[in-house]
Amino acid sequence: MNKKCILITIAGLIFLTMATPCFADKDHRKNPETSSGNAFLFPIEFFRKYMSGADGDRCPMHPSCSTYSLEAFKKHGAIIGWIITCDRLMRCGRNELKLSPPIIARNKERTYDPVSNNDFWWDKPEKP
Amino acid sequence: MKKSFFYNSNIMWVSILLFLACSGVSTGIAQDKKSEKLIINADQQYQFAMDYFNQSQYFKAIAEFERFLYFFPDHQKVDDAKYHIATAYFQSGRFREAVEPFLEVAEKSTDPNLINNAFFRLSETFFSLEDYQSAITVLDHLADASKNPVVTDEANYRAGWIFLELNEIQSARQRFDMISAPNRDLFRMQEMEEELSGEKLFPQKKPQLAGFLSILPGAGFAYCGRYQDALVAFLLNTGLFWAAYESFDSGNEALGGIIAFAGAGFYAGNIYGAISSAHKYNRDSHQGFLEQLKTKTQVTLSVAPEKKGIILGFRINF
Repeated sequence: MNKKCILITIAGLIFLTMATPCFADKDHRKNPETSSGNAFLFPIEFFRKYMSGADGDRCPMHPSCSTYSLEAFKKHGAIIGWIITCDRLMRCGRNELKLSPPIIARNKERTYDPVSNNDFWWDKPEKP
Repeated sequence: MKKSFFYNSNIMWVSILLFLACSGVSTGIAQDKKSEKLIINADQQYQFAMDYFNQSQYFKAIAEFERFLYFFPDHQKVDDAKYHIATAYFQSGRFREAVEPFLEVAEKSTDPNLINNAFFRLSETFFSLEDYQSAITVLDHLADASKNPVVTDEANYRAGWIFLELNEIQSARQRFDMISAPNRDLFRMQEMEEELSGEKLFPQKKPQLAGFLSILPGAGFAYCGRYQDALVAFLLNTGLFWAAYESFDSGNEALGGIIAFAGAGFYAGNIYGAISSAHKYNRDSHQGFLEQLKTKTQVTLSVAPEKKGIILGFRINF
């Protein structure tokens, strides 16, 4: 393997780590559906704007994977957002369909799986 | 003569009409004045507020109870009105605004039943706000202060349920054990003890173990019973690693770097997903256990056994 490529990959990861705080601010946590415009979200927004329309609304989950990804990035930052997105893409349309509750969304029955269903354990309540 | 007769009769008719019109107007004015003098007494105002409350129109009820408090600040039902304001806030989901009026009633009221109800409701309010420490503290305070054993036992019973909700089974058992012998049947303690007697009350998965097993992609998902997710995680991760290796090996460093980056994300996602799945499994298992327990041991709680003053009967709904 080329050492240069490994260094570029590591540098990219370090950059994402450094960029994390600028995503995970409190305003985004309050309303993740708004105030986008970050460079890291551009690929997702590009997909939603130009590709999803042609591809069709096929995601059986609610929110859809792209919306879920936007919310994850805005709530947890670039690194964790990316990891949570990958986790969702692996789970989409499989066991989760039987394990999570159904919901009528986008004119169809979907499986309800918001980000809060997958990060609730981060903030465990303070026990008396 | 004829003309004079007609002339006179016209005058007469006009006079009669004027008289009738004036008397009608004056009657109307009198009625208006009467309606302006409508007086609403304290009971009517209180009942009006209660009507809104009973119709679940809580915001209107709060406004009317506040009007009652403004115009009749010394009335004997002032504490009841404050209690209903707090309950209306609670019922409408405005828990933070419910705390203060409940606390005020609990501290200043002279009616013991109202005080007990206010404390219980205050505990429920803190529970809804996820301030579990305060919910327990309120119940402890009531249990210590009350001289009525039923109220003390109910406080311990409710505290036990809060611990059950928090999956603190041992603390819950301790609270249920504190219920006095004469009231154990009332709170169906025999059924409760049977349900809580086992070592392992509901199945649980260890999140740390799920994360550790995910070193082999998919194994953590399989541990949590998610076999489809496990298969996808395994195939995707091994595929991406293989593709990255092949790319680097064949000199396509840029492609290899991109694939490695994506692969790293999916590998980390596989670990995260396994840990998250274990937590979700435990949450669902715990909720299922609580639902079953509620069905088997649920009791209707009342804090006014002597049927004196305000009586509230309600099911525990933690």
